[in-house]
Amino acid sequence: MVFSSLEFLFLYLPITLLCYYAVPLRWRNAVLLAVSLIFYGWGEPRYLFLMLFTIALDYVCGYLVGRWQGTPRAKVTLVIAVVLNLALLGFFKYYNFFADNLRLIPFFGFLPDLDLRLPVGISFYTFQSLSYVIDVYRGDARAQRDPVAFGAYVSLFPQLIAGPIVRYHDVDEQLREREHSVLMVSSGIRTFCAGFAKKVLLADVAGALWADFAAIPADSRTVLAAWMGIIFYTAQIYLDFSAYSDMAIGLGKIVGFRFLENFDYPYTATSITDFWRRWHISLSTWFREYVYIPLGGNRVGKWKLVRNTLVVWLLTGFWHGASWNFVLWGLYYFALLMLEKLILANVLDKLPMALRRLYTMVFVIIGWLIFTASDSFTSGAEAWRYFGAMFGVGAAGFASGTDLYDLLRHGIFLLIVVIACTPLPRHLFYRGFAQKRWVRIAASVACIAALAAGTVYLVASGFSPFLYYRF
Amino acid sequence: MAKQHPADREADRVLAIQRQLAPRTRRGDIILIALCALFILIFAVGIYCIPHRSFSEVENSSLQTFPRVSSSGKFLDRIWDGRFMAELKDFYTDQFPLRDSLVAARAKAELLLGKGENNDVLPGKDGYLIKRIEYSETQLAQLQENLDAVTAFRAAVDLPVAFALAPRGMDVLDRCFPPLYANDRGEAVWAVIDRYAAEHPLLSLREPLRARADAGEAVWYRTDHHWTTLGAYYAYAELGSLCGFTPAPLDSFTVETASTEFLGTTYSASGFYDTPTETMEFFRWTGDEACTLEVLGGDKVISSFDGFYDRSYLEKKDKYAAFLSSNNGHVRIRDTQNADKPTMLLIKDSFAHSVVPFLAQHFNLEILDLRYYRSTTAAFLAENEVDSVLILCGLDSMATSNLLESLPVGME
Repeated sequence: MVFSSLEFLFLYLPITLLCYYAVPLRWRNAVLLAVSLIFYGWGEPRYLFLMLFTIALDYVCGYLVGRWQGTPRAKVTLVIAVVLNLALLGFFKYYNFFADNLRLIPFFGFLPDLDLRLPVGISFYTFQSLSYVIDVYRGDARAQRDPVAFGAYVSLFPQLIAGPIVRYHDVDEQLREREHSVLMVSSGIRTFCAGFAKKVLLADVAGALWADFAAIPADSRTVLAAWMGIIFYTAQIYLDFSAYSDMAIGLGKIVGFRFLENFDYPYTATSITDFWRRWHISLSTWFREYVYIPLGGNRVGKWKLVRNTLVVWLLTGFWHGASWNFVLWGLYYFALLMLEKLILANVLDKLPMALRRLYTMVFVIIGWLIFTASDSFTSGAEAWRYFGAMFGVGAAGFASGTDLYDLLRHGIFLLIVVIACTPLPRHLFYRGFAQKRWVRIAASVACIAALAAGTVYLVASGFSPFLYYRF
Repeated sequence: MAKQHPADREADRVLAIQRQLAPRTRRGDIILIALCALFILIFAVGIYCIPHRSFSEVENSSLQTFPRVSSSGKFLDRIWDGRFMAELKDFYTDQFPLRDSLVAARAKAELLLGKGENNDVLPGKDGYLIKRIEYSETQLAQLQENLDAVTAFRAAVDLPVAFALAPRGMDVLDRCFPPLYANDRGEAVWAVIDRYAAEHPLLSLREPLRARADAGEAVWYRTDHHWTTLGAYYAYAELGSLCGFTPAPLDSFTVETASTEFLGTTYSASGFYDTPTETMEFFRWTGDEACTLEVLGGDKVISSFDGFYDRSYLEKKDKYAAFLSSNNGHVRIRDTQNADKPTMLLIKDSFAHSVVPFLAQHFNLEILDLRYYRSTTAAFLAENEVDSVLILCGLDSMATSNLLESLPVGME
């Protein structure tokens, strides 16, 4: 199930919230666990067992690590937990990829084609669950004695399938005690509605446009069409993913949790380094805390620093999907970040802001083309041709009449999308929110309007997949 | 521990503002919560309180009703493999309260946002709804395969083969395009057709129909992807020299108004539900009632009519299906008064349906739609005597289905 679906909004959500608020406080984690498991099993009931296994495994390991704290046995248990978790993730997410590639070597011809379907959200909840055992080992959190609370943490439906990746020590306290108040619920509703509108009214529409532009035959693709297409994809991936995070954070608040932010207006970044401080923050943080820093972080020599960064970016790329283009995408950012760190840092500082933003966006946009290559094109060569067309190589001229017509008719939409990618709406809203009563009323009206308009678009299109759903 | 991210500081600040204001905003917050809850509950309960439809008239498609729940083991199977959930999802989309109004509202909203179209349907001049169609690389390859199949068939068969192509609405309705629309991308497919036509005999019906449309004649339905009966007549007239007959003059036909309530496929896709209905006509000729139409499945006659029309469809949404009783694998047309007409094998899609009544003046017809026909054309020709072959298909089905691919199968 995804948040932007009618059955979520008009069946699952009301029942879930009614149950949640009908029971006394001490039962609420149990309700959360139960409804989260239903949420997870909705799409693929068989994989429920996988989820239950992960919960059981990390509960036991966490418990033992906590008990044997500081002894070699704790370390052994930690290693077992890490290996088993990664083995599950590796098998279900990467088996096909490795088997397909290894079969190219004659000796590995025996590897069977298992046709595994990726368990929804496995990349997200495995990382969450792992962070728990590691946090306990490091003494950053106490072992959770209550299996229900732990199960609720791993399977928590708001961020289960597409993040943000909640690290255990960030919600440790909240699993015991959290704030259920009018303030939290209403604030959560506002965040959820903003995310819902962003997803259904903007991201899905931009996505459909990208599909149209990507489908233009290479022979008739113009420079303008190539740029418009990839810009719509750029808009889609941010709006889609950040909308999911908004909805998760909003739903979290409605049931009393506060999750950390996952995006900080990445398209206003002034360098690639800055972009990655603002994009999918919970993933970057995870890799920094659990991979980069254990490897020595940046308090090491130049070459080790390069090595550590390379490891993190290979993993980041590969985390996004079992396909070579994601590895390439990771390496692309490794190269850009190293370039900025070692050479460009001083040059960039001297450039005007507008130029820095332009530089960042151009490279981010090209990055997204690599990112979507395996999804949107039939072959790498096709993606490469698309890339060429963006710079006039093999393009059918600069712009066709149809391109101009499309640009014109999507003008208003494009403007709305650009504004939605900046902090401007939020800024205006909260300045007014504090000062003016009518802004607060308008905000409430906007929430209802967002729900209504989103519902209209959902019913009328009947189609709304989440991009990050499959990672 | 890592230091706090600026975005989290900002979120904290925002929540702090809300908290600080909480005493003053509490009443408003409660109202917001109540309104949201009310909104969700109205539809959550509403969907179970309204009558459910199994067919949508305006959208011309069947709808999912509430998925079956039975106490047998089957139900658990359907949960286990996810079928129940998939059907429930469709149920929510298809039976949602006020569905038709919501679809129409979206169409209006798209126009208000200046998008100029909805679901690829352009609201054109004179009330025309024009479907905007652009093909992908794969679809152009599909078109090429269908064209190549005709070439292979022509080489293998010992009969005169005529090949005619029906255009799409957007190919002939230039006159009705919205003012800012430019058709370059939609035009790209004609490069493939022109390349083929330069080397192989192909009658494109685009130019003659466009000339008629430009002159203001109603050759295309305003709300459907097919040509009108008048358009079909002009197509028939063009086919004369190709198929060796002299077309009957237009004024030799009596026009029968079949329906004034027609709303076609483009209308259904558009969401512009306030579009006025249009008229569908049958062009009758003296003696056409002596023709019989048989729908065949293998050797068996599934149904038969006098004339070419299945008038039961005139009461339904899909009125164009009255021509030749919708899509069938094999249809046979015989003139009971005049048995010595030559027999034509017609390989076709639905564009031919409204042309058949004209052709039947000159031919007995064996009509195959290879998408539904269970056997092969080769097997058909081995068992049946025909004098000529006409392939008459719409450009769109050639690019979006394997319509003709099986044509040369088994020849030679």
